[in-house]
Amino acid sequence: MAHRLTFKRDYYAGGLIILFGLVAAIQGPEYSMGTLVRMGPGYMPTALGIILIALGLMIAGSALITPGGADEGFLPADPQWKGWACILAGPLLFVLCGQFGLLPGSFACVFVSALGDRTATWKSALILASVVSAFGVVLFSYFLQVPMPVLTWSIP
Amino acid sequence: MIFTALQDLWFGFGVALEPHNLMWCFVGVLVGNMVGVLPGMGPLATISILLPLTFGIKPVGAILMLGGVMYGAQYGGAICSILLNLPCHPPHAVTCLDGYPLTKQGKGGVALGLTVMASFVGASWGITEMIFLSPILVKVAMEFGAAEICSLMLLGLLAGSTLARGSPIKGVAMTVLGLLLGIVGTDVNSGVQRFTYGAMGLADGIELVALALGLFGIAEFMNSINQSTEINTTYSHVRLRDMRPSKAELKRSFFPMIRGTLAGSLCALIPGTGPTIASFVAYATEKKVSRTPERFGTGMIEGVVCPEAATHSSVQGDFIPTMSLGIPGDAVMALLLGALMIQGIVPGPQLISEHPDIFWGLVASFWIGNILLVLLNVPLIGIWVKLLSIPYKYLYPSALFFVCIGVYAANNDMFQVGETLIIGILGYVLLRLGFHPAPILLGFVLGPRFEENFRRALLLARGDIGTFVERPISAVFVALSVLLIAVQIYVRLGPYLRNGMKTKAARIAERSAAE
Amino acid sequence: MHLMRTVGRAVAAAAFLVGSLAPAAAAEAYPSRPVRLMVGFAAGGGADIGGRILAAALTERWGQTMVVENRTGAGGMIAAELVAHAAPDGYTLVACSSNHVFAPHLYKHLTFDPIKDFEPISASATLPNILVVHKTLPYRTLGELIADAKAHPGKLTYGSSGIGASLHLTMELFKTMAGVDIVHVPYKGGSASLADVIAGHTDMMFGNATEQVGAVKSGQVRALGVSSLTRHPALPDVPTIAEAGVPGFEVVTWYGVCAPRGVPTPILDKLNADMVAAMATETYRRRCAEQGILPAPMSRPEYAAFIEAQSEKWTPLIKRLGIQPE
Repeated sequence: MAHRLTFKRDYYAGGLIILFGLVAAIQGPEYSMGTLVRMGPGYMPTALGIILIALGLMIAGSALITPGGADEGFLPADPQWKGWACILAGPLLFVLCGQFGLLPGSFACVFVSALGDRTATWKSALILASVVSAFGVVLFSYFLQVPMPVLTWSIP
Repeated sequence: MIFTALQDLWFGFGVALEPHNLMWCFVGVLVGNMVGVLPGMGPLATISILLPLTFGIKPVGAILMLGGVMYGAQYGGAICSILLNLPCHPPHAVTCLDGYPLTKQGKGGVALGLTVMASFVGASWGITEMIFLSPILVKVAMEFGAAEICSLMLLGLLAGSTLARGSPIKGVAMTVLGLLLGIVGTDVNSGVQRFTYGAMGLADGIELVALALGLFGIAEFMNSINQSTEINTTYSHVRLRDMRPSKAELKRSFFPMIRGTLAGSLCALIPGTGPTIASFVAYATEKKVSRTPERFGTGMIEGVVCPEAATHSSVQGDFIPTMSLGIPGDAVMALLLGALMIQGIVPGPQLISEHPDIFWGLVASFWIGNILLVLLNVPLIGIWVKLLSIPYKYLYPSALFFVCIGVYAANNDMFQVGETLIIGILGYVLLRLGFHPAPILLGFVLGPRFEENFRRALLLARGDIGTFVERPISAVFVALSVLLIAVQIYVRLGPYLRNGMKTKAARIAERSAAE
Repeated sequence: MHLMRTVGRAVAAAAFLVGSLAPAAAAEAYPSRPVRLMVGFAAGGGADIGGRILAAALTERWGQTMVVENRTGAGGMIAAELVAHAAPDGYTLVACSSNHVFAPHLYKHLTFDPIKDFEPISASATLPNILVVHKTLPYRTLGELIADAKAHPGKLTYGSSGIGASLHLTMELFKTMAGVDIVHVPYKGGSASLADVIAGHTDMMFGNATEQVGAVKSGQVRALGVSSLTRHPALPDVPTIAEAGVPGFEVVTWYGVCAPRGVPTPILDKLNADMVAAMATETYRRRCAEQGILPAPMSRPEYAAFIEAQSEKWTPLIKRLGIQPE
């Protein structure tokens, strides 16, 4: 019977949960613990951390007993590195370029994230970004008066 | 008493139907509805923005408008949840669970139509409640002290942790993770900052909107990019007929709507529980009473109408303690009160007697406003649905932008946009590992309240842990919680305990036979 | 060559002259565009309303808008941080309140100094805190309450809007000066605390005047004293705590405006003059009276001294309470 201890998704799932649990259980006691009836700030996080560790072990453990199924890979069959990077760059650029105003922030966000699509071209992303950021500025700055300058040179 | 209430209501209609006031009501619901569609921009952000306008308007008009924004936003919130799996605002996160699968089946329009109906039903009940039952409900709400709220939160956590599809252990893990995320921030009972590592932006905790939009928005975008999506083609030729729910669907929705409404009104009374909790509780309850719980999450109509009815009934009901006691139930109500105070009107029990035009005008305007919203939304369903025919590659960057600006506008805080990003990454990782993010929201919302009230209850009872079972209401909730755990254990472990060894051996035998 | 040097010197002299006149000239032109007032608390709350009333009055006076922007978080420190790092041109101001003195003790990792990085302009309003008790409790006067509390230490409970917030500290000062022991039950915000006092889950609380007046007037709670040295105009029958049993007790919640350090003095002075004038208007006084707050115009040195006095008054108490979160 060949033990396929190769990657099983639930090992990693359990592992992640155990990791969260460890962080909580280790950091928790640094805030004073107190007792059950006089709980300090650290009691709850520690307790939850321990529960998470137990749950994580159960999840990883269940991976041992059940046979592996299809689509067990952590990454999907077709990893979209470029797509993900573009999507994540969107809010990041919104934050960074948003220092210069709503217009640069929204333009950068839409432009870069649009490039993540396989069928996107520089031109289509550019047009989309221009349209959306123009619309956004009109809607959010003028109509909704969101307190963010449209375009500014000073960095606070 | 009912007769006088009706008389006052009649008077209220008179006030609300004055052209001037009617106009402000319409402005409020229109703006609220439109803004509600935008992810992240909830009633709080909108009302803050409109607040300066109210300086120049008479109090009646001002409060009608702001109230209209409040419940109008709830109508808009369901749209993106159902069509794009993107909750515009946390109360609508649960609607995604069954709404989006319905859209994938081509039934997005039907779901939207039923939602509008559920919203109206929920809101109407909330209004009725407000008119006739306020005094009783307020008294009941006062009975809810820290111990009662804590036990209720516990019950909610236990009931809701099996909310989403998939492995129950993973569901519980997500709930607990949500609890932990809710702990980030300043501890109410001790003032200590937990898990903030010095970041001031986290001093008040992770923002709920950032959590919801990160988990459901960014993670979902990462999941769907460059995947082939057949939805778009289905919607290029949609006829009005396709959007009307069938008789069978209507029948199926009836009871869930009622149950959702009741759940919502209960949650409205209890201080500190808002529409988000109401929608979660309604969904969880609906799943528990359903004959086919495993189909929740695949596109069950019940799973859409129930939380929406709950949200609306809860939002209308939230006005009760605010208007009758002068105590705001949450931040939005506090804003409304603030707007009244700027006008020189002091809310409280004397509001009804001193300014009956405001109180009854407002109540009457709720109904008028809801009717206006139904009239507004039904024709718009077709337009929203057409939105789906936009190719995904144009849709998601635009949605991403709306998410960013929406989160920013919630608190004028760019830090929270960063929070959304990090949470989005986490959400995607969790998705890939087979977790479902919905229970995180549940734990996040209920958890801190559970802890806060647990410690407060013990503080008030001077350390006597028996207080949870000595106080009658709390004892009921505790008993229900214990029952729930017992049932869960029996259901899950029963078969194993009886046939455990045999099943395991059988599986090992199967595996070796397959090798 | 010689000519060049002369011209050069003339230009330099002219530039110097213009440069020294510029701030004065700028002050004349100030404000030439909208001014932002950062409020560190949620819209609709006391500090926010106080800020908006002032902003409306100044807008009317200037003809240029003063825009209120809410940047909530960390007890008002997020808004304060923003303004501390803002360009010192007088167009970004912060609406400070009593919390400005308390919050720095709670948040250890501030990137600014709450006293040194700001230029105080003036206070805008003050309001007392009101001691209210649950209506079924038998105390009719403050003296009865203190007597009972002394006889049974630890029996009574009080609510507050949060650890380190002004309501918590007010009660702690009261406990110290009256010599009583009352158990603290913190809440998230004044209204949550008030709800529980009304319901009877906690016995009493010190509350913000604006929030409490309605509840007191409708009989939901009973007011035993106000924390200022003079009685509150909306509640003339309620004695001050100082006259009712704790001589020398005085706490006021205050709102004011500060600018970042580095704003040119002429602009600061103009702001102060404008604020004082705006606070004298009929509209401002009327709006304040509706809210139950009192206008509090001050000169800049007065305000600076006031803030320092507050800091000196409260810091020992905060340190003694051990509110050192991290």
